[in-house]
Amino acid sequence: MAAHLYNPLIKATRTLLERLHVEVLRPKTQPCCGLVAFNAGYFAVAKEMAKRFISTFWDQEYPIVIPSGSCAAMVRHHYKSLFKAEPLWEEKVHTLAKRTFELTEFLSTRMEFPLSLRMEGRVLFHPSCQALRLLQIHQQPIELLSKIRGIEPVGDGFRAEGWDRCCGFGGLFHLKYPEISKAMRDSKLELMERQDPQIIVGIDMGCLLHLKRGLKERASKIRVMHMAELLLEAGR
Amino acid sequence: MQEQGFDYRKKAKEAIKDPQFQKGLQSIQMRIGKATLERYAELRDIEELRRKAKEVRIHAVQNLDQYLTTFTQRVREKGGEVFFARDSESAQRILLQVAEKHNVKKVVKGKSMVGEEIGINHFLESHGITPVETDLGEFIIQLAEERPSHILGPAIHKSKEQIGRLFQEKLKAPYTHIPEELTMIARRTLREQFFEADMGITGCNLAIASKGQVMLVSNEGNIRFSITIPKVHVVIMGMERIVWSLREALLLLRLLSRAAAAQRMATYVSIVGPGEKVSKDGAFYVLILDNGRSKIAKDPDFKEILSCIRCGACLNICPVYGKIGGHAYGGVYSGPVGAVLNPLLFGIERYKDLFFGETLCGACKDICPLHIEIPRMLLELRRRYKEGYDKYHIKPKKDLEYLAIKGFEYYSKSPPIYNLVTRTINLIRRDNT
Amino acid sequence: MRPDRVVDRLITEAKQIGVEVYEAKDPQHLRHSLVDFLTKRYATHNSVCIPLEGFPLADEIIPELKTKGWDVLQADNSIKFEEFLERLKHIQVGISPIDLSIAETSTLVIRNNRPFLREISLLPPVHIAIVGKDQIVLDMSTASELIDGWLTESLGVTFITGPSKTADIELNLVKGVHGPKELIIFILSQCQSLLPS
Repeated sequence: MAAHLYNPLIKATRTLLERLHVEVLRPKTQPCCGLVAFNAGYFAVAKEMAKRFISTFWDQEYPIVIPSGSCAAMVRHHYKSLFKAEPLWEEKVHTLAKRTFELTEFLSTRMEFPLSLRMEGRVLFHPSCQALRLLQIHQQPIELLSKIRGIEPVGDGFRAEGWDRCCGFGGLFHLKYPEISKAMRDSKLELMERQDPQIIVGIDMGCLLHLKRGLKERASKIRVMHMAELLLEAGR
Repeated sequence: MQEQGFDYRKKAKEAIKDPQFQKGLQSIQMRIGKATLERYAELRDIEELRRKAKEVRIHAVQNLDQYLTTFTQRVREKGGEVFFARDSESAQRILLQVAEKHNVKKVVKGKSMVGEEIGINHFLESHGITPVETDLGEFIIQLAEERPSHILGPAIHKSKEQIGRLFQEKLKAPYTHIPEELTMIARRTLREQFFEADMGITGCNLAIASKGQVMLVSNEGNIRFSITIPKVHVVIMGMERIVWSLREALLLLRLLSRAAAAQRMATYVSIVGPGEKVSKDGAFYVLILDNGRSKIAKDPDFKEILSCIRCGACLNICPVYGKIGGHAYGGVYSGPVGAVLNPLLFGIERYKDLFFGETLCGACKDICPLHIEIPRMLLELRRRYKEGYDKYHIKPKKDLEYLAIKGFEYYSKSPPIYNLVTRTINLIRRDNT
Repeated sequence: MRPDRVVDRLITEAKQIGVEVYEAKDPQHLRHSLVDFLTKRYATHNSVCIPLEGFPLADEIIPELKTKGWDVLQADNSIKFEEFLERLKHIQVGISPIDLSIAETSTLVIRNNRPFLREISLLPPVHIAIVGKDQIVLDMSTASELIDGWLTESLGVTFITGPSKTADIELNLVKGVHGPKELIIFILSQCQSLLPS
């Protein structure tokens, strides 16, 4: 999702990877993984978008890095069920999934991290529900954060009480059920504010923008950043 | 019993704005939800147990005919009787027949979701029979004429002061808000009721097919009273609530205790059959209810939901339920399990807010003792609603949202439009941030 | 697990859930402790129900309590069930032997074909269970074999784990809702069990 609507994230990811001497290739048109259509219940539409996604990346072998936990989960987990009845596509999905990574997963498991990182600040981590529960991604970003000199892990290793509780963004959910979404968001923020962080960092832009809106309403000074942005800043 | 014209958003908002409700929900989630996970972690082989338990339950759901036939045989051999009811109306009719046969004027009830599904209290009252809820939480909401807001703690949305005033008004008891005193008032009142009742009606945690007996679980002891004192015992059972052997029942009991109330073992477990009643000139009946379950059992995408043992753990962790409470679900079942069951049992179109109004975070599946794939089923419900499903007479929805999604698809595959839109949005964003 | 380890496990688990446990090394010791306990603890509510069947100590304990001014309801076949139930309503303490105890959860198991025991362990606000050491098994797995046989033979079983409780009012834990408020276990730790199997 972020890919389309939040250019700064794409730039940050690209710059970060290039700093790490990774050659970043981008397809002419960034395909959408189809999560939005899938979540809305339009599986047929999601399938079309998934096919485009798969076709775009099919004929290379390079790893596909996605700076979004939920999109990575879509490709690695939900694509399987979308193409359950089509063996040819199923095979493609299987192969593609093997080289698809969420950004922090890629950084922490697939490469050495030569950058020296330094940043002052009390930092709290907010996971992506989809990546956490479907891809078991949460140690990886925490590991990366621990490499940053000067950083202060708030709570229990960057985690507040209820750290794995959904923030209420839920994609289309926040548009369709705004009161519930807000109520969930505010409860989450309350738990996080108790730890007195200066920065909240995460891997899903949707969640982060959602939290940011809430913090703005509370006139909070807490910064919200994506892992890519934070790592970039720490690497300067 | 389903509510006419319930409004998900309205009821959700009401709960969100109710401080007492919020306090109750938070309490139950912060304490019990958390403690359940700790109880799981105590068992070294917990994942193996959960896998085995799911296997056991799915096998039952896939072979209901065989299980129910054997169960019926065993019950009858031991002197009891078994009735099958296709729907609410037939269940009510059967129950009335049994009640009339035994001249029943008063009934004491253990908590039964299936009973609520068939509107049993209202039905009995309309036929001059007094039903008395004996579980403390159910007793409270019966007096308050409200619906339960949680599967295990039905009165969790009420404060002790509210309960005190309720008892003062309805039971003519002196006002108190001390939980121990309120409980003693209930104990005294209900103790009399057990002895006045002609019949005890309970739900069924699990039926044991090979034995013709049922396993009933409680912490208060109200079920023990309901099945021991009155002469007639009627078990109302959803047709899927069954296992084959004692061993399997005990495996599930172990998980149920931990999942429901973070206990290593529930306080009271009664395994009873016709014998307990027949030996004392009483009678034992099992009323097995379909009400849409056989249809679900034949549906490969959804049969899994029938393996649910109604522990309530998913309610204790769901962040959506944690804000909107049980009333918003507009039916007997609430929380994540309700979001799947209510639409399947009572109408996918009618209950669409239940499966759209979730964030699919997956916490429910994590905490479910059987790892039931609720998020997958919620997605499938969405698909059937939007793309249509002939078998359930659901028409595809080519609504505004469809147009928007198609628009999004178009934009995402057309470079010039994509670039234009992206640039515009980011321009706007830069101005706002 | 060695028998005394099983006893220890039962005691540990029981204490964790608010059940008082006392050990006696032989029937005489049990008799003295029990009478002592009753007369001290429930001096002002001195009524008790004791089943005669399956509880050999009953013959000695009953007269002793009677001489101490206790109201004793003897549960045996000489009394009609309705009358028994009516009198039981006013009894403070119910004493019962059990059929089996599962140490890992401190669960007591009573077969439903034992006359009076279901009611004795339910109505009075205090339930004292007498457990023989060789009635204790470690876990549910071991217990399930035995119980399976019982279910096939005749009636069902009742499991009791701790006192009656609820948290329905604002999640406050309150004991003694419908069932007993106090559950106390006396273990006969070096002798035979009391009930015929």
